[in-house]
Amino acid sequence: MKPPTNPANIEAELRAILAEGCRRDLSQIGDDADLVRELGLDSLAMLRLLAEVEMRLDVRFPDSELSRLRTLRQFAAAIRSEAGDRLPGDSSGPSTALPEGRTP
Amino acid sequence: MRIGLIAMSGVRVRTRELAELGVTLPGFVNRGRVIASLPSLGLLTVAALTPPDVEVVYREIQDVRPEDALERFDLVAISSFTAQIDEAYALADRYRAAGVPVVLGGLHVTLMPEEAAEHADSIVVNGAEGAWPRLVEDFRKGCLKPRYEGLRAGVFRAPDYVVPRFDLLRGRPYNRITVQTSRGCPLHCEFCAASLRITSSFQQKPVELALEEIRVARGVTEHPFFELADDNTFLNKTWGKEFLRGLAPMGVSWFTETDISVADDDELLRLLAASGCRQILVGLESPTADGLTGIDPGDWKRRRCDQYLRAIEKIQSHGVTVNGCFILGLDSQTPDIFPQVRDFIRKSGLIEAQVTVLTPFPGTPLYARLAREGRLLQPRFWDRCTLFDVNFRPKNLSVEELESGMRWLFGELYNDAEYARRQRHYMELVKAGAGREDPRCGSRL
Repeated sequence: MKPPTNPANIEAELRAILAEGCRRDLSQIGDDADLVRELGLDSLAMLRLLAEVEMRLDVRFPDSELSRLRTLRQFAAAIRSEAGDRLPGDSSGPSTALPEGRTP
Repeated sequence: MRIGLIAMSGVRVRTRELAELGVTLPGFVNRGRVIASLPSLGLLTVAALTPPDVEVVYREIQDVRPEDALERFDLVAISSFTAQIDEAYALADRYRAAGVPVVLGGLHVTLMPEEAAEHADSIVVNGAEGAWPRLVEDFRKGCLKPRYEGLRAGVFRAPDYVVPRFDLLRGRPYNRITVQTSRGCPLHCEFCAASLRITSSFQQKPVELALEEIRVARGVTEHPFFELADDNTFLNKTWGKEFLRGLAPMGVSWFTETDISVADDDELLRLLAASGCRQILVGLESPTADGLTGIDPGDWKRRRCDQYLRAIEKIQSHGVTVNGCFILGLDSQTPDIFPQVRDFIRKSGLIEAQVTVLTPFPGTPLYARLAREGRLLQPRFWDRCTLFDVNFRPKNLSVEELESGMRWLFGELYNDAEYARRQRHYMELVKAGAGREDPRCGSRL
């Protein structure tokens, strides 16, 4: 478990995690594709995917965002926001809006 | 000949304050949306029982508007939940006025046959097996009878058993498909208005037939999600294990209803997870043993109550989530029940919870008892049989206390923060290894 080495590659890493989970070639899945619709993931499968991403990339999505994350781009934005200054070369800075109760 | 099979689909809460809650609390309406998206397995079975030279058309109708034109058929068969039965009757009346003969069938019609017969040329009570083929032949000969008795047992044996016409679901906007592996439930809960009312005893489909139906059905839609249309799937653990071993290689995701005893069997739990079972719905009914007295004639649920918390934890630790169902308005319940249910749900870690109000469906022992005790608010309230509208006088609560307590509890359980908390709990279970029995979950998806 480690943070991604390059923030520009987050989408690619996410795609790899998803492809492994679904055992499918996801090269045609766009960053803005709705994963629930395109891959037929049910709500629990989406949560399992989010858990897998959290473990593999050592991040934690805000609880309040869990229902809203449906595309790779949204995943990536949440990770950039969450990981902040832990991402080398990332200029977005640390998140200033950590939800209550979150592990820092 | 062209026969129209019409399923009424879509139940609306009548109490204004509750209907408004549904708009503001997303978690409150989720399961209702799913139920509304389920196909009518009964009518798909009727379609399969129809002789092959007859054209059948399957339709799902949410709203019957008088200005809508009627689709032309030679014969129409309508099935409906109790909550929409009056709309079904109105549609039947319109067809009959237009000269199209109408058949009514299903659970409500079986329980209220005289009422239904006023709106139909013929009714089918019990299962369609053993009745529908005779009905079609009689119709062809011009001698349709007013009533046909279907089977109450032996429905999964030749010559009456058929594979439902899942192919009629092609092109449907929903991916949920129902398959039935059993009818009935020996617990005989007083309030239950499900398939036990159309069976003489618990009916179990042979494993190979159940698996074959799933093989057939998974081809009709992309990414199918199966919902077993059973009252209690895993009563027979030996049958259950054989079924799950056969299901696992198919790689499907699915949901079912069963009782809490699945937690007694570690092997069954491992097989459940490995077969792609995502969630089981369990009728816990009440968080305290006192509340469960008399629910079922053998007080089985009361005796199980002190094991609820441990059982939920054990099932969910295998990656199979539990949708715990609770009923408000049971005779022993006082105003304390509302915080009790909330606290139990939080403490248990249930990933989903379904809270409904005790509903005396017509034809059930509960309806008969409450009528006898003079506790029904009105004798006929079918459009309010939504599981959320109060139709009786509770024993230890006023109607107002029940309604306002239910609204308070929904606000406590189905708000965004609580929903997110349950989602987070599930993710932490997954991270801790829940569901690793599922071979697809190198993945977990």
